[in-house]
Amino acid sequence: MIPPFDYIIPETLEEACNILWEAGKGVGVIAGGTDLVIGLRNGDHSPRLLIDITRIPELRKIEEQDGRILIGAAVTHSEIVSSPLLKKYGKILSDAASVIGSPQIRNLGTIGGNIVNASPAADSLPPLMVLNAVGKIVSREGAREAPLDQLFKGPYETNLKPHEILVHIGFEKLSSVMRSSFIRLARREAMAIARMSMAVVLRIERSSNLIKDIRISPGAVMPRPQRMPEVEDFLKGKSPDEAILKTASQKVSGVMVLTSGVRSSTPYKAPVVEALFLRAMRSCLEDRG
Amino acid sequence: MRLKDFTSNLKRSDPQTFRRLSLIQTMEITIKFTINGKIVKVEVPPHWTLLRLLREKLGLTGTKEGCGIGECGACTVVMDGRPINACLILAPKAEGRSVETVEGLGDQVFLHPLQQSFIDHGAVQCGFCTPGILMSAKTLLDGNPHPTKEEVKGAISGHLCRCTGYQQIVEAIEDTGKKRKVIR
Amino acid sequence: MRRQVGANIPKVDGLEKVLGEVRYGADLPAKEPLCLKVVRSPKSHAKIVRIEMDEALRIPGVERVFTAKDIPGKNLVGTITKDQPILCSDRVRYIGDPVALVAAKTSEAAEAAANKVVVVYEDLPALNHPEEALKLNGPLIHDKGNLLFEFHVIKGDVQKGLRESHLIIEKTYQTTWVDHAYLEPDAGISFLDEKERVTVVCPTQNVHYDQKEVASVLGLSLDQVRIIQCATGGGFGGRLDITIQCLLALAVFHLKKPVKIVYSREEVFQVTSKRHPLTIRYKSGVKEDGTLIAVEVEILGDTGAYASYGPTVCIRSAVHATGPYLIPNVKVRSRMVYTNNSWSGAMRGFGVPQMAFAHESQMDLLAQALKIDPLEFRLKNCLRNGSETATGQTLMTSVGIGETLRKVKECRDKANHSREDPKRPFIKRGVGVGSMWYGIGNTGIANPSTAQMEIDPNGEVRLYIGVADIGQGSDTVLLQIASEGLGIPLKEIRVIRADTALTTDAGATSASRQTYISGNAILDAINYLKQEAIKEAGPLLNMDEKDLFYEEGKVKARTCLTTSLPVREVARRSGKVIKGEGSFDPETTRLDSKTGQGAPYATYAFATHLAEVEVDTETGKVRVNRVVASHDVGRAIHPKNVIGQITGGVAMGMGFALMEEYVPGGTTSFVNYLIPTSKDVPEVIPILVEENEPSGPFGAKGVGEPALIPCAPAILNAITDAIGERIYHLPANLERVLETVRKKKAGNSNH
Repeated sequence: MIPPFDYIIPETLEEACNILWEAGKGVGVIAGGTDLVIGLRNGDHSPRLLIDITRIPELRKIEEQDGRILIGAAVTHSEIVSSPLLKKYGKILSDAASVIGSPQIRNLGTIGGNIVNASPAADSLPPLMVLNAVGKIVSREGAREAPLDQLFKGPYETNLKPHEILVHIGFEKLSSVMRSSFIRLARREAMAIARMSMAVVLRIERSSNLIKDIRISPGAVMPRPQRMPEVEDFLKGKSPDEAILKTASQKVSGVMVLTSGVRSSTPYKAPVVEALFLRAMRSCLEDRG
Repeated sequence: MRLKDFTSNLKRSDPQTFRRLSLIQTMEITIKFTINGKIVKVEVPPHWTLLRLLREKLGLTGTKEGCGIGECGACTVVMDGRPINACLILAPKAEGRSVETVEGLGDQVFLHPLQQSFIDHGAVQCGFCTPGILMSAKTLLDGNPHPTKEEVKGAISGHLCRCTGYQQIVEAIEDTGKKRKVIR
Repeated sequence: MRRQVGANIPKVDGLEKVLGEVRYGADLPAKEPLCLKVVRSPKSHAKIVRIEMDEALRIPGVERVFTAKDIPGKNLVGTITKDQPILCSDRVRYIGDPVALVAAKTSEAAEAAANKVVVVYEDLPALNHPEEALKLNGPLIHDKGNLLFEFHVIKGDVQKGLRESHLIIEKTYQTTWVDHAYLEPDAGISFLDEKERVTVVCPTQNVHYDQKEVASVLGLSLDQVRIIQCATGGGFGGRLDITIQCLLALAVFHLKKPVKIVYSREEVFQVTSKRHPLTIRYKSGVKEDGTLIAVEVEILGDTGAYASYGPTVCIRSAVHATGPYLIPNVKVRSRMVYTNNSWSGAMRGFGVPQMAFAHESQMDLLAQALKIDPLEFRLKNCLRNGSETATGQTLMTSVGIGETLRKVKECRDKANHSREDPKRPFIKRGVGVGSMWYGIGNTGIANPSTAQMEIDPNGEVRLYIGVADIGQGSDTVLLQIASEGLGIPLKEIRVIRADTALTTDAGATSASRQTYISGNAILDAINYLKQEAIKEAGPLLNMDEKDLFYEEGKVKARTCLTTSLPVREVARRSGKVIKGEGSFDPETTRLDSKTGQGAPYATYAFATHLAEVEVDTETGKVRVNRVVASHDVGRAIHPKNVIGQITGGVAMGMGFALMEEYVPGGTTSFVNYLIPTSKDVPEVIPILVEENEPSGPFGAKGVGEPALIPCAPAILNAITDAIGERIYHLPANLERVLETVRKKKAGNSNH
């Protein structure tokens, strides 16, 4: 049963920041609530006040600004899926958003919530990692920019301060020469947490057929969303032939084991993360032709 | 907005904010929203979910609780044209919104075509998932009058049904779409 | 009148269900009910040292905290073996065992108080494996020992049969706990009715059983207790046992005020029964020509903390161990063992789904070794009219297994199954079959149903029936039978159902028995009603009873075609209630306690499924594309309902095969207990084989459980067909499938 608390719906960002600043401890921020309400029900949190940020205009927009796409933290997964802007410049993110939870959850859950909740299995995080996404965070102390890979501390843990609000997440538009792929595996076709996922962004130089840019971020295999610079560096400048990809895939599982340690699930996850990586790469390469 | 503007704005808005803050220590808040076409104003403790508000305060027990955590879809209602899990949304979020439940779909005299189709196709067994699925199906047909089988399956993929295996439900929804075509 | 049998009429409860008007347990109105909350054991095995409730009682709104001391009657319930306390007094035996019950003015207060009840435990060694529980001198979970039940089926000479076999295959199969996952969490209300009876309104599969248990727990006579079934959001066997009934009744007994209880989903997962995990060692012997000659089976089941339907599953799994095949030499030993795991009980099939996984895997293994087509192999060995089963029962009629196999074979032979997907080289496709047989009704024991039909002088026609419709549609089907039997349109018959104060015992909605058994009881009642109508019509028509007969709702004269009187007119003119009381108990014999020989069921249903799957050999993900489900159900009274049972059974069978796995103390919710969604289920092609059953109502048998049973074996056989290696442990989840694929690869590269 959900314990009692007070509730306030600020209409401006300033108001929200002020309330957070003044109210001190025991205050929670609620966006879609799809994770938070479950936490409240399970007794994981018992705030005395919840601040609902979903009616703050800045947090509700998807826009293009100086070659970047900005997505308000309170934009829902459904809105991401149906955004033409994202389909064009960040399809990997709309692909991932389209398989989150269920239609009902996608209508409530927000991208900001997905980020701040910091689940290792969150579907929108690997795509955001490979998009080099940067969050804008504000508080009464001011505003700061936080590259996503610096935001996550561990499973369900970010370095967001209690009085800070994530306003939006932004990334450079994926140009038409960039290919991307998001592959997801779950025990069930809907309403299932990702067993594992893989996000890849790839650019092949047409003239040389060499990998110019590669970004890799697997989901649900490491304690926090991470890129794999070791593998990316290995691939850069190489030709994407099968032997190279195969070696790279082994490096992917190697990094996974190094980061997460050997667990009872490793005999399953190691070969599968390799397979998902290869599929994501092949999908990017096919897409190119 | 530049950072400097932003912080100065903040300070200006302080007094108003604190007025609001002092008001929030009440046990119940009043929310106003539209339920099945009618505007209602209700007092509700802010920690109640919309589901609890509907069932316990408004007497709309057609919306069911099957899991309480958004994993079964039995509590699905339509809010501003989109299906949502009423168990996952706190009641204050309904402020100013329009909410539709199974009670607003049809009545004994005028059944919604989906309701008739569910009866005709044997899509109802225990019936506990039915109200929620009807609401998702209605939203689908409102936006996409002639969905394919795959689209129907996708639209109801946030609902668990343990009795039917979904086949007769999918047929019922598909067929409602097809019949609309005939009327045209 | 339009024929009712075979007609797809709208389900009688359909309208109120699509309108959202029907009331399930949590929707029931009660006048300012007190809310109940159970305090449960976090320990799997412990002694209760003391219970402290002072702090809980101080919470505003708390009315009372009950413990075992407050139970006035017998604090043990159970359908066969009464070993399960309503509130534990001295000891808890699994995580979730009830220890105390709080009644409070609000649900918040009840929950807060439940959290404040302090129970001091002293840990006892917990047993979590049946093998371990059977060890001599180990801890005892119940005083009489940890072996709950043992049963044998012995026919012919199995050793001789095995000696004469050309080929013997022996394998061990393992299944796990499965939850019913009925969608409506248990909830209900209780109050004293106008006759001061303790009245419980709740979802259930058997009101008359509930009545007996509540009366026994409260030390009341049966007529002081009334159980009314409300709309029930699924059951699948999970609501055959007592869930909330006695808790509600106990509170009302003491407080004399209306009370209400609503379980959370987490509570339902934790404290209701589960499907029995079975370990099945299966040895089959076959002659060179492909004739099965011997099977020897050893079954070990985990019944968990309490007996529930453990003995039933023990017996039924043994009786069905051979599958629907003719085998002259059979030896089955089946044992059911207590552990400190969640308690296992009845779930759709009573052990037969687990057995079908084993015997159908064996059938494919044998066929493969003999290089015979698996369907031909089954056809060669399947039961026929006149065959003798493993329990020595000769089946004279309605043995439809052969026909279900032939129908499936036609479908398979027509289809063009490509094994590979050129675009996705990691995909392997496969096709598999699974067959089953299922005895309708309880096993070798009396399981009668009773019914009454009456027509009153006002012309109202009433059917009184104690059957609980749990969504499967028995209200509709039984009304169809009544309407057809009486010759009165269905809409003109009112049904009074599942209320112990108004209806008589129809037995449980289980074992796929209600159409067959209660359907027959209704026809029996109608026969008496007809005689009554003829007797009353005699004087009205000035004719001798002998010259009258009943047809199409009228009493007619044999001699004069124009002389007839509608039965309602007979009631009106005679001023009497024309009534018939009926009953039916299927013809069975008790099984011999040593050899299991006898005729346990009056009739059997048969089915064969064909599954087409694709396996992702790099991730272990299995997708079931299509299931052809061929069922001999006897006459289908309501074909659309039968198909609904089949499509639902396939989905549940698919879950059993691929994803459902309850972990005692681990599984909490639908987040970690996955059942198939609309995007997971295959296309189902139902085929109805209607082998007339002469003893059935209009030839009907049953379908509820048969719908599920052959599905998982068919899927597992299809996976084997796809990847070339077999899985012996359910569910075939991602990890198990991938492990098996890799084992196969490793095996291939070693050669």
